[in-house]
Amino acid sequence: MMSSRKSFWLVVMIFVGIAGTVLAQEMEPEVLPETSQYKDPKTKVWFNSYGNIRIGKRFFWDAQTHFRFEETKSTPFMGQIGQIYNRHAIGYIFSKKTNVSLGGVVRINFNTDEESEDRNVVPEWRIWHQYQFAMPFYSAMLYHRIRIEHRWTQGFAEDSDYIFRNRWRYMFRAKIPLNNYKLQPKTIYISPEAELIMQSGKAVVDSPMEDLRITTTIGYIATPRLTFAAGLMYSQGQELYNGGFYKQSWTMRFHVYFSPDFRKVKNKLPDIHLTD
Amino acid sequence: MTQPIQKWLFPLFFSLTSLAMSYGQQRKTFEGPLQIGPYSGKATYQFIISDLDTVFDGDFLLQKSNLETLMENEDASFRFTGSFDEGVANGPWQFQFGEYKTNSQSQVVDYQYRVLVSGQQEIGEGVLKDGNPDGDWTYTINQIKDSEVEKILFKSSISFENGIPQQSFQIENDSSVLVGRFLRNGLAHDEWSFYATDVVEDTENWFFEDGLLQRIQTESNGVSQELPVFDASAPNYQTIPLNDRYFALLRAILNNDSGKSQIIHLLEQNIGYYSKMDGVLSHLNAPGIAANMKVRVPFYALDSLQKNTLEQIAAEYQTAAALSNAILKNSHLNIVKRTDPEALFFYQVTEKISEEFLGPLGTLAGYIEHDIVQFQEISTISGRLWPNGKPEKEIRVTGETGGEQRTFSLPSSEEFGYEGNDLLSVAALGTYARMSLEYIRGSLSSRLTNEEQLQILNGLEEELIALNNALEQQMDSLPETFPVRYKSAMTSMKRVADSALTTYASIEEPNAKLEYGQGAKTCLSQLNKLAVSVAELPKQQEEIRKKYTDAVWNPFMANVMEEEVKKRIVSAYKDVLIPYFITAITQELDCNNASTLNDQMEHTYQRMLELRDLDTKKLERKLRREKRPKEVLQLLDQQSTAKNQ
Repeated sequence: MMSSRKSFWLVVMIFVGIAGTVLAQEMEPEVLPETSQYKDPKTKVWFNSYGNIRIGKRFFWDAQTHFRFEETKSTPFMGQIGQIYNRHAIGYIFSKKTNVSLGGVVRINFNTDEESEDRNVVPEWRIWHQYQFAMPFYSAMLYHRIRIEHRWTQGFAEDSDYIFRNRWRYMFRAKIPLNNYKLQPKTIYISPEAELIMQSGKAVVDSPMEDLRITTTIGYIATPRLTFAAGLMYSQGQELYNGGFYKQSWTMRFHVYFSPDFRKVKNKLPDIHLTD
Repeated sequence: MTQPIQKWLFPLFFSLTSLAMSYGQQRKTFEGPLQIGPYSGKATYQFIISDLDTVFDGDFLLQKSNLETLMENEDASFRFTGSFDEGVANGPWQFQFGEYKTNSQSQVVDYQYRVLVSGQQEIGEGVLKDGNPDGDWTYTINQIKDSEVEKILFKSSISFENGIPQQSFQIENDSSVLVGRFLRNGLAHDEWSFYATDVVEDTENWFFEDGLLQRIQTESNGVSQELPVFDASAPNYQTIPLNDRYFALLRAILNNDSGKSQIIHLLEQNIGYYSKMDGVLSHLNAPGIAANMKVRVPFYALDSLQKNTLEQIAAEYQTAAALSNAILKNSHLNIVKRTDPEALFFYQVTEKISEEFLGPLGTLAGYIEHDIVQFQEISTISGRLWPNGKPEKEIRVTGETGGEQRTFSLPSSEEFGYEGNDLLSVAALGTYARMSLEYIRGSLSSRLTNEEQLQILNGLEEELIALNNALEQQMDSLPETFPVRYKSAMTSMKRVADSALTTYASIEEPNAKLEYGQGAKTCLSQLNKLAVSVAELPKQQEEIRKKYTDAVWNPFMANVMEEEVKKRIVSAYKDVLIPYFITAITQELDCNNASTLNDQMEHTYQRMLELRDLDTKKLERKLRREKRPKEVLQLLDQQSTAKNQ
């Protein structure tokens, strides 16, 4: 008599075996290279807008729209549009230093493979939630951001299926004022940042590290409600189809941060005393 | 048979008669209210009637304490006990003075209510023999806390024999001790030492020889000093009591170096307490009590001529001092001297006379008043009062602006000679000073006019000077960081004030002068107000800045930032109106517009405080185009009219 536990594992192994066989039948079997293979870096430009629209004492609407361009063979950085990206969420201000958000993303992916015969545009869907913590550090501020995304993507091939993956992102960032003793209007700041993006899901076999992004940004706080920033990002990460191959990129990023508050004056006050 | 009766009748009669006579002499007891001098309380005393007079005889008690005042605030109590012998104090006496407060908490002990008191208690006690202190007398001041002695603040112990202090004595307070001794005749003798109990190094020693103080040795903070005092080879000596007069003499001789003398301080304290006890006794028609310490001093007898001269000096000094005071304090002259070089000259001469002639003469007048001239050599006094020689008859002063020197001397100055070292020279000097001042007053009479109308002006002029001083003070008290352009506005105010005063001083005709003066007074007080407003500007601008700043939470930085709100209004205030006011004050200020400008400034500030909380969208829109100050002022107000309606 086999114990029920043993029979369970048997079932699992059979199932995985069948699935593996099916996958192997569908795709070319990928073989890991002897050593990791780094592809030539791509060059990109991102234009990002970040809106943070206060809709209540503790709630805000997080509205982000990004336009991401990348090189073509003939034009570096801005040869073609890569993605248009719409990220929205409702955020909750837990305290001045802590907030959380939950919302959805719809991203329009353009086919950037110049030789491809497939579809030009496909949508991508995500549900995301994030947890941000800020820490004052001398005149600077440090930020920790944990962002978790549940992501449905499909390839550009006709009638390709959606695959589901989870993304696990952690970002560490500092904002250091350069011409002031603290971050306030008329201040230029420098912001080094590092973000690690891991992924999981059935399709992720040997490529859990999707992206590692190292960025330095220079920003200018124009008013308490408007900030501009620009920076350069280097990133690398494993290709999904084979973890032995690493893509790389250099990205120029331009940001506008705005935080309007359309509430009536009497509701606004006292707007910093969150716990009153 | 009659014989035996007569035999015992006589003694009976005799004894009855003597009983009756002695009854007339018998003590009675009084119990009731009594006031002696400033002390009014409840008395119990025994007395006899002698020649229809009440004569104290037997025990005496006068006391006062008031529970009610003690509970309310503080009670000054006293208690005097002692005894008399036919009107003469005889036997043990005690004088108590107390000042107590209470914390108003009471407790019941057995059958008594008790309250604890804190304060000061003074006790003087000893024996009086035939009205004179005899034996050991002590005077103690205790500091009382919660009905217990916390600290002894003062204690003097002196032994007397028939009113004359004997042997050694000791006077101490909470930080120092003085010990010394007397000869049998009460003369101070040998070394009197003072030392601080907490700083043993600080000492002061007086060395007496048969009552003559020969030298004083002091040591303080490690510096020792020895001062000779009285000459042991003077032709004559006199014995005088050691009292305030002696201290005045010491201060004169030591040229105020002994002002800090600790020994004098302790002795003065002691003398004060003895006279407090004496005050009680003398009001009881009893001979007083005194410490009776004696000293010897050199004596240079004054003849009647010298005495007269001293009187003359004192009188000359009084007159001259009054004159100089009248001239220097004359408010009209103080104004006139700004424009009139002649007045300024005489004013300065008066200042110089006051300093060089009257200052030393005043000191001498003090000696005369204390009656201590005869204990000093006249030549020594003269040298001490004028260490650099007597001032010259030609009094030189330098004009305030130019370096030009002018000299004043009495027309009859040749008749005066006061270079000598005798009293007559000093008197001549006094006369010269007095006559010079009279001459100056005469010369200034047109400016010091005693006309009645100008008397009225006097009060006005005092006010003008006070206002002008206040303005100057306002300018002097500006902080270093005060903006330069505001400072120039202040300078402009001072210029307007000066010109008003100058115009005032130049007006001769009293009626016109009075009229103009009234206007100048209003002007000066308005300038003062304006100066206050300008001085306040930096503070007010900071207030406005704070008031128009909001704290905004920035979600991207996760911190709170300051944000200026209603920027156009703030900018209109800061960049248009304030510069407009300052420019107007600096360039166009006069007595006519000072008040208007000040009102506008004050009003604008108040208005700015109000506008922060009003709906100002419309105003902000209008301010976008309007940069002309007067129109901006109107706009700020228009809003208020709209709002009020």
